[in-house]
Amino acid sequence: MNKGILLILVMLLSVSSLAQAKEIRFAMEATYPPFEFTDSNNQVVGFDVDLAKALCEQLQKKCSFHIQSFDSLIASLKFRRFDAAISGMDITPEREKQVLFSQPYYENAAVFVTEKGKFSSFEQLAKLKIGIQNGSTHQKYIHDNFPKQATVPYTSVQHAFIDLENGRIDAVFGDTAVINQWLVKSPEYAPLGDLVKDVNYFGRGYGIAVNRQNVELRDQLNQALDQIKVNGVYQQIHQRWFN
Amino acid sequence: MLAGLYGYIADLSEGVLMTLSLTFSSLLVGTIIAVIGTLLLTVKYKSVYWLVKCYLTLFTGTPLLVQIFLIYYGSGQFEWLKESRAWVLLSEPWFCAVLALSLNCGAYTTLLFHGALSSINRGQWESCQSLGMSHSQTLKVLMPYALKRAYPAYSNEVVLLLKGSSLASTITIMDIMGWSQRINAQTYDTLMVFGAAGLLYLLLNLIITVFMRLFEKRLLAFEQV
Repeated sequence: MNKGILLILVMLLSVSSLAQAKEIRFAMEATYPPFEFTDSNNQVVGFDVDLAKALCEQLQKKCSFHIQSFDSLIASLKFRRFDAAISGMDITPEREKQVLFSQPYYENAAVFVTEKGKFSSFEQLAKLKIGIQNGSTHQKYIHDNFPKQATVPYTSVQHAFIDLENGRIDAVFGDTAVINQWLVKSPEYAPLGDLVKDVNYFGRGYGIAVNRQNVELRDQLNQALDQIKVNGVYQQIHQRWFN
Repeated sequence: MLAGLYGYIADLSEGVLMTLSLTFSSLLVGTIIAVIGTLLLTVKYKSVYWLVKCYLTLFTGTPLLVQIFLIYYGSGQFEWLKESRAWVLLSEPWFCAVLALSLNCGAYTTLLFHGALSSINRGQWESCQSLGMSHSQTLKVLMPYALKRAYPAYSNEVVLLLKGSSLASTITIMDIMGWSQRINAQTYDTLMVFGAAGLLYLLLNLIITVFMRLFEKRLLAFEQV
């Protein structure tokens, strides 16, 4: 009798550990070049994607990528729909109350972008409309520090760029790397003022988020990040997307 | 937990006015479109008939979300449109949302009114004709009757419109849905925030339904003898 129960327990345990070991399901909001976007073949590509693949290889696991809207990523992790979110997500105190973050894997700063030569300082935007991605640290930064500033929330920062070109808004506030990527295609626009680095919002860099209970995966990801920084894979990926 | 829910309802009430303004502006414009559309469908000109049919197929056959995106983001792609006076209106998200919602609501309501008009007994059309009435005189007699017939289904359309207005949040409008997305992004309390949004929509719909029912009783009083 006891042996039977033991056998079932062992079987259950081995099944669950097998399932756990095989695959890491990554969630991302894939309209954020160069970090994650879909290419002409409908494949998700980008810095974050390559990094996740490298981490999975290091951990000898399979990777799968799932596209989600940015403001539902943290909720999806809480509901365990995915194992991890790698989506250009800044490590912030608020988010740390909801999820666990890996060590930072990319240094980040934010910047305003406007039409070239239209404004000379950020203060001139005070009465104008600034486009931001809903749920982003940029939105929170502006609401906390400039509560009277009019902001226009978009589901994707790409929509904010479209509206900036259409003249519905006067500026977009977002991540430097994403804005620089867009500026390549839109030479009539330029960054305004200095880079914004505030430790409470975007100063600490991007992290990979996992469910709060999943300390094991977080530790594995941290370890793998250390390893790919030592063996040069991280530098290769960085080179590929930022040079 | 309940206190949290109550707090979120209070936060979201900032969006209630926006939701109501979207719904009732679109309802008004949509109903005017529907009355005109229904009249045009009874006209004998083939080209007018097919033009209205095309409009109906286009707006009932494509998703409302696609219509909203096309009107909002699509309008910005034409330089001549951006130079024109219409851009003053089209650059406003509220106007784009009302335009999309009215055209959508107008299409469905046209079908509704037209259906009610065609369900009127042939004999009534014929008796109007035999009395020597013209086309417009016949319509004047039969149209109010048809509209009253369509009323119960029309109240349903109002409820659909109110729910559909939540899609306006995708073009940056801060209605109930827009506020709940913003608060969710700040608190990550997904279940409670959207639960509160759902409750608010339900409450608004209940109020609307009760009013429509009361009005329906008066309107259809002639049938309840």
